[in-house]
Amino acid sequence: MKKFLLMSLICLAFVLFSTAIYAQPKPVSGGSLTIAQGVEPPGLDPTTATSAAIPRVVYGNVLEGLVRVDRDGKIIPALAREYKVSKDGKEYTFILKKGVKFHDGKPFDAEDVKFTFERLMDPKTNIPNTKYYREIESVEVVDSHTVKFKLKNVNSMFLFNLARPDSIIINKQTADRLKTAPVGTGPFKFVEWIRGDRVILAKFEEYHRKGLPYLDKVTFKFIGDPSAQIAGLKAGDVDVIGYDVSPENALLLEKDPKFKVLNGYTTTEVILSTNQTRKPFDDVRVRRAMAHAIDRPALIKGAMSGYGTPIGSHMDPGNPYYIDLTNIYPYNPEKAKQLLKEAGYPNGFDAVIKVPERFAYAKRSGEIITDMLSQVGIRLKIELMEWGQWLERVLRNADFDLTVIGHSEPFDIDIYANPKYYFRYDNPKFQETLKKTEMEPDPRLRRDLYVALQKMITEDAVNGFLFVMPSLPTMKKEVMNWWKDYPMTAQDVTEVWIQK
Amino acid sequence: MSLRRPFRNINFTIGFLITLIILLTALLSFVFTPFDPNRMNLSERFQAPNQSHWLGTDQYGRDILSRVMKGAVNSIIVGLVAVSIGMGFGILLGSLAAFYKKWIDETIMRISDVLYGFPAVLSAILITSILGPGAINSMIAIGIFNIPIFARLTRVTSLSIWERDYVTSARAIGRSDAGIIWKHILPNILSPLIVQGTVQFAIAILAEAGLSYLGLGTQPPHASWGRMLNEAQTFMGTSSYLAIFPGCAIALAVLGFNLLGDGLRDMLDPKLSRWVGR
Repeated sequence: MKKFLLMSLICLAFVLFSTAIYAQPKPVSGGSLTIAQGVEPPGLDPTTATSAAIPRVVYGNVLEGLVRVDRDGKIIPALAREYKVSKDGKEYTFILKKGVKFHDGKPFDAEDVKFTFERLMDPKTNIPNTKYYREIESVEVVDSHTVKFKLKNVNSMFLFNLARPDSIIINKQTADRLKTAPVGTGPFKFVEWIRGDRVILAKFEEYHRKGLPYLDKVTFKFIGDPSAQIAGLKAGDVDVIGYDVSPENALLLEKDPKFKVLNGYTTTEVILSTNQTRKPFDDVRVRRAMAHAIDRPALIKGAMSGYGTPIGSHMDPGNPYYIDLTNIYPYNPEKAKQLLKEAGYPNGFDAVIKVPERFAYAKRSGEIITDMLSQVGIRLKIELMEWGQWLERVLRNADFDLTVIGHSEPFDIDIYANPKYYFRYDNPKFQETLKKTEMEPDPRLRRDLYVALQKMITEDAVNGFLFVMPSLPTMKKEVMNWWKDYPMTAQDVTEVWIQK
Repeated sequence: MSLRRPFRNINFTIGFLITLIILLTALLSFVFTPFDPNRMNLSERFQAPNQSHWLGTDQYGRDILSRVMKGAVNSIIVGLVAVSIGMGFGILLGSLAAFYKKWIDETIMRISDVLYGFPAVLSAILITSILGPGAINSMIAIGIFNIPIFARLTRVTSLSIWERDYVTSARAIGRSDAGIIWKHILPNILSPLIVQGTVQFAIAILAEAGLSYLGLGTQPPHASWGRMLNEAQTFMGTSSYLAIFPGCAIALAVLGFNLLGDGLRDMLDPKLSRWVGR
């Protein structure tokens, strides 16, 4: 018996050891990488425009912030070596990394940080996301490599906001070039932007993280048509498709031994948005009935070919505060019918679901939900809408009963505190708790509060919480170390290398 | 005149048979389809044609045969409505033009020239994007681009008939203009209009499929051949049968109505045929 145990232990150790070796081959330097991207950025400045296409090219590659989000969604230092938070949570002191250089040769110091944030806070800069910096009272240079941020209130989102692509550090001399030829401290320097075609980046030899990056050259090629992207991948013109692979194509490419598909999370929560001010959706029993009537695993199978993770609240599983609430409303059509009866709709009701035609995931989810709800008596009429029309009617004017859409901004549970937001959820208790959460300096208490927030909107079944969009980056077998999950809007290729 | 005689015309026979099959399928679908055409069954997605699902199932596990059958109804209704709109307004406008001549003729004909100048499907896209997508709007759109075709045909064919002696004599005995158009003109121009009608029917089916393919026609979850093709397109790599069956249905319907039209033309032309008794 003992011998058997020993043998199994040895075997186990051997297996573990060999997989460890297998899983981590040694990175090699050199080579170039071409990444296909569906949307060409309107400019390369992530601070003054909201297009996700911008950070997907420059963030983490050309431009960096004081802190960043790692592969697990945790906030870690980037240009800051470390940071300290005062006891009252209103003062953040950042010790900056030494020996960091901008691509133009200028050494990075505390003045750049001060300049960056004063520029962002200056109304003349006209940034779209002013809310990220609203709580900053002042930015002080303590010495050449120490910066102190004073906040008006405690703000738990402060560090996370510094990790967003909006908070990239720039220097004064090159600030006006940000839009066309950005200069940052990142592992790659900007080389050329051929409009309508590609952005080319080259290795920055003096990058501050030693030994990185591995690649010599990175090209972002803008190919709008998904099937053309895949044709490019198959033909060898493209090495990676980072974001735009549809589930049915992922399924197909996965079977091809030349390619691999990573199935990870994004921060895009796909929800059945429900207009809280319209009858009968103002009745929580009706909303709960709908939640019980939707079979999420089946929906994911039908709409996403099985890719995607079910959610029970408005938070992605990659978020450190995430809790699994998918079991609150299990699939149960009988319960749904009963709830509808209680709400005074024993024979169901009619409503319209407005779906943006542009997004296959939304269209398909809408069709499946229509079918699922019809089984408990809720008769939906599908209205496919053009994207511009959807934005105008649904998002801006809340002229809708139901819709399906993905919310891609990371950490966006705060949209439920805005009663004017298109689904019109007005719960003073939620609004208060969110305020309290954002002002809570103790990380453990803050976590509890975030959990409470998630539970609150699940309890109210504000929207139908469906699934988190899968990341599905698809690449040649030789491309190593690509991010599996996308906890931040970026395609960081710093640590990516090509197996020879 | 024997009932068998028209079937000596091979075009007519084949066209008639295909049309009949499609018509019967459409009628049948009101009382029977193997499965509910809109009911999803997500555990039976992407089944290749088999014994229980003769034409397989789609991405939501819906039975394709049932959907193709229901799609036939959709196509026939679109064809009927579109051709009726086109014929109704076209004949009216064409007759007015031929009768009043002068500036009315000029105005009507120039406007229909402009309409005619647009590619048919393009103008349908234009109209549906104004009216909004949907089955009814797409029928109206297709109908509108049919109007100039019938208007021109009506005008040209009826112009020569207005010069005939029996029209002059009808006038002489004091028949009203409307009465002359109804009694003498229309019966004489009916055959080319019918032939044109079947051809336009085929074009309408194709146009509806095109509009639905672009997402402007029939809205989900209702079955339409064009929409089925649209949805099948992303799954071409894995399940090509999704596209093949609705594609075949469209091709068959268009072929059927075109052959029918050809056959009718051959038969209704007095120079080519002897069976139309005078």
